[in-house]
Amino acid sequence: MDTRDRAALEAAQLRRRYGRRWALRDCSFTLPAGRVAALVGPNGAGKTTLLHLAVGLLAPSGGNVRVFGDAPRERPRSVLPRIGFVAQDHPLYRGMTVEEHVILGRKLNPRWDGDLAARRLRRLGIPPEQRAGSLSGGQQAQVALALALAKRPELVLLDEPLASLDPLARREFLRALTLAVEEQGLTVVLSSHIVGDLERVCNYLIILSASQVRIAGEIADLLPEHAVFSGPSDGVAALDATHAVIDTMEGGPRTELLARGRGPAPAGWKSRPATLEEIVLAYLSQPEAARDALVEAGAQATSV
Amino acid sequence: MRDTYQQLGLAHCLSEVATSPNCGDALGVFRDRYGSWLALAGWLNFIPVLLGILVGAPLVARELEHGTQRLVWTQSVTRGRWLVVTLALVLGGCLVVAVALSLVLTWWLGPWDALNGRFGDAAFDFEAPVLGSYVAFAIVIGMAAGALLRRTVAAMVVTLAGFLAARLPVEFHFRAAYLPPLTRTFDFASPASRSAAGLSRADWVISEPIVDHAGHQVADQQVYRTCLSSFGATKDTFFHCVEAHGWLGSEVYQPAARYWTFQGIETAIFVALAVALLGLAAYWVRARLT
Repeated sequence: MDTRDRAALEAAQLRRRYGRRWALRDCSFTLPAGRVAALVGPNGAGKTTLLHLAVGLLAPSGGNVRVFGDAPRERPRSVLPRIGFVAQDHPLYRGMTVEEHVILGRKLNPRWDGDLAARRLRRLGIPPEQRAGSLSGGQQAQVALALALAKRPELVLLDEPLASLDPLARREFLRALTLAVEEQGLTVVLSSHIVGDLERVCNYLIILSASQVRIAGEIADLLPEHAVFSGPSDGVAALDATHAVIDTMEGGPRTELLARGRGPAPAGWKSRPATLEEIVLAYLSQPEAARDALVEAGAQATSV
Repeated sequence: MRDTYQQLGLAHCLSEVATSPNCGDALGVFRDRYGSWLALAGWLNFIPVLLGILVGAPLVARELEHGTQRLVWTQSVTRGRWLVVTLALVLGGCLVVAVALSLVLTWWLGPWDALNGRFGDAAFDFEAPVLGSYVAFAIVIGMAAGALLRRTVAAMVVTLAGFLAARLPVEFHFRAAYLPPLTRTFDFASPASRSAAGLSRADWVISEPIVDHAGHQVADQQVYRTCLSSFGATKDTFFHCVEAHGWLGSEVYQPAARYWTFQGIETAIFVALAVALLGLAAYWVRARLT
């Protein structure tokens, strides 16, 4: 089997519950190795829960998750060395210097690449003797990424790595990540609630909304499968017969909507290619997602 | 303390049980001078629980508070191994401190123990095995509380409360009953009979009840009511009265020879508590924490 088509991360009916609230429900997808995947969804959609399940910080409430075929909670000794994980807000020991973090990494990881860590930090101009707590947010994120990459992982999981960074630090972080993907042949999952930055870096998309997976697939496949159609409002049924309408973007006598399907547009409809951002927004605002969110809110209200 | 002990010739006094008239005075001087020091040394009993509060409680709780468990538990080693290695390092360091403290204190207390027995006062609590077990227990209770409560300050409070809840009842209630105590009786009125009963300073006298010939305890009130009823009762008439009723003095005691057995029993109790709590903490860290 081609190594590129090996599954790096697989979820099957994966569920996780906190008390009576479902943080993740019936999550199923397969991420082939070698992809850089964007895990996109609004805040509270379950992105952090999914990543914590993948790295074994959390145990599933049902279903299973596998990293290169192994369950992280059952076989941590084989899964942990293969994952480079940077948690949300890139946690570091505030009182420890950058160099001490590198030493800690060496002691906790048998496949540690000290040269790689030192080279990355030097290139970024981060002084090794400085305490982590006194670094800027962008530098902290870079140190956390350097530590994760020096493990020589095969799968890198980054939880909202861009959230606390300014635009310049964001660009530098993504540049460092892209370079590492090229050098080390990594599979990456990058969660975010911002789409714009990810388009240049990612080639795979997983959309998570209201604790469920809306769609997962190669961006190169998703883009031609979706289009923005504009036509008469009373002709929606005709379009619906050949295409799956995801979301109505604009109402009125002439309506604009995003639909999935490869066939030609019915008479009276014009179509244009959809951007990645339009596709993401359409899936996040589709009625099904809204309805589920309401059901969930109702369940929470009764459980209180 | 050692110097004074020599100057006062107390070793000599011990060897010839109170034959020299100066010995009573010398003992008095010695006890006066060092009694308050000893009370001060008693505060050192808080060192184990302080280590538990300052070192044990933050061990897991601070990782959880700062979110750094997401960094350290996602490295290549499993969190179970992380816990064991961290605890071993911390516990090792604290035990070195405990043993050093024990050696210094036991040396300093040497003369006092010779006079009062090692079961008494500070000596027992500062002997290396039990002191080490107190430290281990305190560290583990702090760590377990931190893992379960996820808050350092709350874990510190629970550590203090939990430590005292185990340590105080053991010292003041259970320790005297590790083995059934022995009893010896003597003629109440005669000092010679008392020394003939083989009393040793090193024994741990738990109580001194008055008993009848069958060995049953006679309530103090009954003795006093019977023999102190008339005004003007002198010491002699009191003793005669007690003798006439066939009552004897007695001592319920733990012999000095049981010292190390008792050390072993108390050490085992706290090590067992520590191991049980460690099991709970390990389960919680591996299975329940995120």
